[in-house]
Amino acid sequence: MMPRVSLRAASYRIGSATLVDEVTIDIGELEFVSVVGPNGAGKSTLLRLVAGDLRPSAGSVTLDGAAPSDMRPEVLALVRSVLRPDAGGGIPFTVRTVVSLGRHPHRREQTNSAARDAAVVEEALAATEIAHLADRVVSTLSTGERTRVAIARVLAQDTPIVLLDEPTTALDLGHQEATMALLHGVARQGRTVVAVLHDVNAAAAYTDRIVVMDRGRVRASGRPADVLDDALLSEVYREPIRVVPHPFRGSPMVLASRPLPKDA
Amino acid sequence: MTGLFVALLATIAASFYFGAVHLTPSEVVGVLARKVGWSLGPDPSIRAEAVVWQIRAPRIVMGMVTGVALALSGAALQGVFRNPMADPHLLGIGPGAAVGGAIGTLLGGSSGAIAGAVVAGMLTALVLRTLVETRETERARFILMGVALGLALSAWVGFAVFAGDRTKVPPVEFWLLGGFSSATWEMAGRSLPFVVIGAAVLTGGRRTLDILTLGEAEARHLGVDVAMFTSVVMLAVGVTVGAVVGAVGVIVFVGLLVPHVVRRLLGPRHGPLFAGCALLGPLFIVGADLAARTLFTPVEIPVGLVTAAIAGPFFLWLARRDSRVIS
Repeated sequence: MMPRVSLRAASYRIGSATLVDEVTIDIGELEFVSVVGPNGAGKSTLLRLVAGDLRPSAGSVTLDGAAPSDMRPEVLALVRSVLRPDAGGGIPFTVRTVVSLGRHPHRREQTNSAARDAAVVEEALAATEIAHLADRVVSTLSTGERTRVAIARVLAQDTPIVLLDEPTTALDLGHQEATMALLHGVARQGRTVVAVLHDVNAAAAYTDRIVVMDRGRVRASGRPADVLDDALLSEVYREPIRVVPHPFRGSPMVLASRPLPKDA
Repeated sequence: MTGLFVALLATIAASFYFGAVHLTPSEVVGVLARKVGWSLGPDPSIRAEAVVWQIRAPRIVMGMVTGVALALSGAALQGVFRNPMADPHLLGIGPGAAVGGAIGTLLGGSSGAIAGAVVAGMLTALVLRTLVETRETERARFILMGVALGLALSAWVGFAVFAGDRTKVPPVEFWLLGGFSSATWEMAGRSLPFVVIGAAVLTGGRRTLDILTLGEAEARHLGVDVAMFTSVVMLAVGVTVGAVVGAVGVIVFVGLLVPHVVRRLLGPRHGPLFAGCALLGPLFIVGADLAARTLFTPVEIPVGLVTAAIAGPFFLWLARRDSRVIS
């Protein structure tokens, strides 16, 4: 079966800097994939290549066989949805309005209706636990609440491919877990979910595959238990790191192991 | 919304009643009633008929057309650039259209003025569009470029006027401060079709403008061809603004102020915003024109002086009071 998302030696250069360097990955449906790595590793650039925001300088990026940077915007919007980091700062609309705008790509579809739009919007509000904020103006919400509004908008877009850049960074522990579980469920509904994450533990616990990036290259890609090890992470993050089994989840758990200052 | 509508009707009624020639309310009503085929009261005099139907009525209609054109254009530009300072005149589209209007008058009289201004308005919009293309993320710089373009083009209006036949071309102050004293039914009839087309395009984009409010990248992710949409809006603004500048000159501050006031009254979504602008724009212009021709009777002052005098301080107050206007 053809992979939904396919990168073949995809590179992105700007000037003399190579932000993404010959990345080859295939991602299928039902998969929840995380991309981790230090700041400046090229994770967001990789996501933007997949989203069609950027055109690869070399190699290819395809979604269901077609290059996203060549697709018409209204067609692409039915294929993939995108969550950008720090989304939603000064938006003067209510939460429900913003989430409803996620339905925009479907407005000309024969099978769509106002009732379906409303149902999908309510479902997205409930799934992201913001139904009680539905009539609030987005610019009055906290950063974490705004992130959940943006996630709800992405869910309302209802696309087979869902791309998220740091969906959990601004969230509290509870909403972080809830969001990871939600995205896991979204993948299991038959979608492809790709998320750039900083929390390697959340990635290890919830995602089917972890792609570890460093300096534009993929250093490892595979099931969390196969990929995460002390040597690789310590090298990539330039920091002593140990991987231990989570005491009751069984998934790998990443711990910083730098000796503490004496008075700490 | 209803309040705006009632206020607009009141302003129109006042504009029919007040003026250099004193008429009684029954004379005004008598003339207007007969125009819709309804004989009400005693037959009005020929003088009353001329003042109401040939002078005041076209002036009011042209004011309404202008108000709709400028307020919708301002709202659309503020939306597409997500910048509260976007305004067709501030960005140079109005002054550009005025250059075309002055040249058009030389070539083809008052109908040439509107045609010339529409063409020049579109050209200025295209020039501005190519400047924006390379500076997609630098909104503040874009406004500064528009202002610079507008100042240069305002000077060109002067060149066009002084280089041409000054007995044929209206003076610089008409082009840069605006005026309705030459408004005729014919003029309104020539201007209106362009404004209708432009307004239809702009209001048709109301949902896309809502999406653009989420951000340029978000709009692209939701299927909006941002580059194409921006071009379409700017061209529509060029046509709309050109059609009124060619008729009545540049009237400043309307496109800037009216959308901000409507947003406070009706909220930030572009559907209600456009509807409100189509009421408050005419209200503001017809009111300002009434002031321009009655404040210093029998002398009439340029209507742009009135709009700037009212709107400038009001905008300052609004900007200070509501940080959202500027942030």
